Amino acid sequence: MSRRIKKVLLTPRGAAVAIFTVALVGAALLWIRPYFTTQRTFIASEPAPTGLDTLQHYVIGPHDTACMTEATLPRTLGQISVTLLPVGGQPLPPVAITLSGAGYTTTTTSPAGFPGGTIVLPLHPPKRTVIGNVCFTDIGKSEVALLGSNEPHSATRSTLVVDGKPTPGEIAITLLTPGFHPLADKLVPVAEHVSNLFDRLFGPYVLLILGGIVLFGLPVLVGFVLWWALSGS
Amino acid sequence: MVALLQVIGWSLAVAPLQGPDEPAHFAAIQYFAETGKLVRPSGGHATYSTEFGTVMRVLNLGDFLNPTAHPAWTKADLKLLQRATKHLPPGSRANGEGPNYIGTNPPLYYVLMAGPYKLFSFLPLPSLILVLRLVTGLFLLATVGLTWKIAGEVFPDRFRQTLAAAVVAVQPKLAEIATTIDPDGLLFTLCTAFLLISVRIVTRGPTARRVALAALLAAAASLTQGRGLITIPALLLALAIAWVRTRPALKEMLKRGVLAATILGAAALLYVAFGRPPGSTIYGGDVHNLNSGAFNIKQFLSVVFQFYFGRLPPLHPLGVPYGYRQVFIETFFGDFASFTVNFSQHVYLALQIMAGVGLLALYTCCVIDRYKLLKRWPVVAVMAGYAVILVGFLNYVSYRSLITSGGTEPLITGRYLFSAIALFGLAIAYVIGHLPRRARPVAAAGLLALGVCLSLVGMGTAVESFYV
Repeated sequence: MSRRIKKVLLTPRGAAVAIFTVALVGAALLWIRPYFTTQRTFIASEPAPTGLDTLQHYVIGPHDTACMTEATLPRTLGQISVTLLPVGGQPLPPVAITLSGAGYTTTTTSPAGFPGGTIVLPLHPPKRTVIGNVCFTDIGKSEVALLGSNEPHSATRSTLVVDGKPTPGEIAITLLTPGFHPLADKLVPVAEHVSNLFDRLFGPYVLLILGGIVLFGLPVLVGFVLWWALSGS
Repeated sequence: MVALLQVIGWSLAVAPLQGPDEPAHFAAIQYFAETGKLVRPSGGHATYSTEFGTVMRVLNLGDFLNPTAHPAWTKADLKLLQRATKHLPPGSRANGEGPNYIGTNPPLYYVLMAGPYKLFSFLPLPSLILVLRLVTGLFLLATVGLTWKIAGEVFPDRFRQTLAAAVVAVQPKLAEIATTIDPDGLLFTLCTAFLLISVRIVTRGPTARRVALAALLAAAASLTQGRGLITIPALLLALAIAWVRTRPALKEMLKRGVLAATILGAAALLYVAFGRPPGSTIYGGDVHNLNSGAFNIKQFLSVVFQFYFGRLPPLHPLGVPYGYRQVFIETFFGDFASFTVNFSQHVYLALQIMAGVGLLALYTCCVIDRYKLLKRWPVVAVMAGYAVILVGFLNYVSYRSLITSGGTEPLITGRYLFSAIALFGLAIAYVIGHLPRRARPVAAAGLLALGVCLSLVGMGTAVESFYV
């Protein structure tokens, strides 16, 4: 270490800024880095969330169908997560789950004898994101309950239609992207989400630049403020 | 600049309309901007205008309060929204007259924000929401600047003055609330400005200009939010201290008192005449409701004791377990976006321990400095008095709310303390200024690093909750 740097570090403000930097680098490695590097599943869209306070069971019988309308079916989807529960102690029947939108239909089926609970099933994605329906058809011989909610906290734009009749409440559905990825690999899609929700007032790349400025600028500026404050004491 | 980065970060990190009561506040601004009328707390046909309701419905941005919920964030959703709003009839932004529970609030924030709303009303509503968040964020910049000015009145050195302001600038919850469409940002800016003028009144004398300015700020705070009413007893306290300290002629002091009363009275008249929606009572009946029913001093003291020190077997508990930890720690530093985005309980525990050590250190410093503080008693009295009035008011309101709600609604939350955020910065700067010379920079560095970390982790957690 050069003599000049040593000299600066031995001054109170040099030591303070060094401690500030070390503390932040330590926190960045231990606390902030995992946000970007941890492998995780990503939500492609969530037509209806799991209820917060009250859960509702929507029971469909053999050959009956329940559909959630106006669901977003993104081109990034690869899996569907839903909760299927047995009714009256009977084994769960297979349930066909069909996603359909303009120029797109795909079906996946839950296995017969599934003990009940949340199940994640693979799906083929559409070529482009479409707005469509997610339908559940009981293709077995016993009833099945689909977990959902009827609470205002969890209300979305989708409407639940059971056997052609609009029904209050929603079936909880999450569409996931395939596989596990770190957030660092998905920064552009995440910035797209932010941008879309504010009607693209700022584009995703502008948002990424702003995010970078906040992430790195905040520590640097506060470090500068500390340096300046100490230079006057 | 630090505050500006906080504003940019938090405005984007929290999904639109997910701040506390943000849809209701936006609806109130929109209705006033579009029609020149205030939203009604009861009656009316629609809480939200047709267009605003469509935005919330199509983008799944309703009152979720559900941490597992995610908005509809794809380009296809945005196109769906654009199609849905394209053919709305004229007046679709102007028909959210109520019922809107926010209509019980006084009108100043909504009237002020109607300006930027009109200026940017050519934008689609989701973009307009972001613009209004950024405009509201300017209150954070003002609050940090005002804290710096107050610290300049109190501390003679640049280190403590800057530290006090920097601590406020890196307080994560303050920044998050300041970037929510909500009157709280305006309220804590007005309260901080009021505190600055109060300090000047007791240190430099109660000139007509200062008294008028303090009364104007108190009136503005009271017209922003019911909690702003605490500035009125605080103004009386400041005038009393100034009178005791400077002993001006009684006639002069009476003149100042009349001036302040005239300004406050004029504000009250304006509010009664023009500041309420038709058929609404003062503060939408909140003041009356909170003060209805019997007041039991023993019960009040018992509730306050249990609020700070937890349940004690001989004392009868009232309502849900809610107290110091929830108000002064969890919702003061975290619990972002309508309580759906949180730090881990370990973080809150660490903050509670640090706050405890800090309070003990503050007490110790005050004891050590007692003679110095006695010499500067007017400043100490005005600040301590302000803090006691605020905290006492919140405890009183919480107690009354527990009584009227049958123990289910303690009402107060950490952001209500932001009216005294400057005192938080000053207390920290004061304690750190008492540390040994070599330890001061180290402690300041550690504390500011913690503030930066909490802010960045808070934003990151919000992004993770809403957009991932």
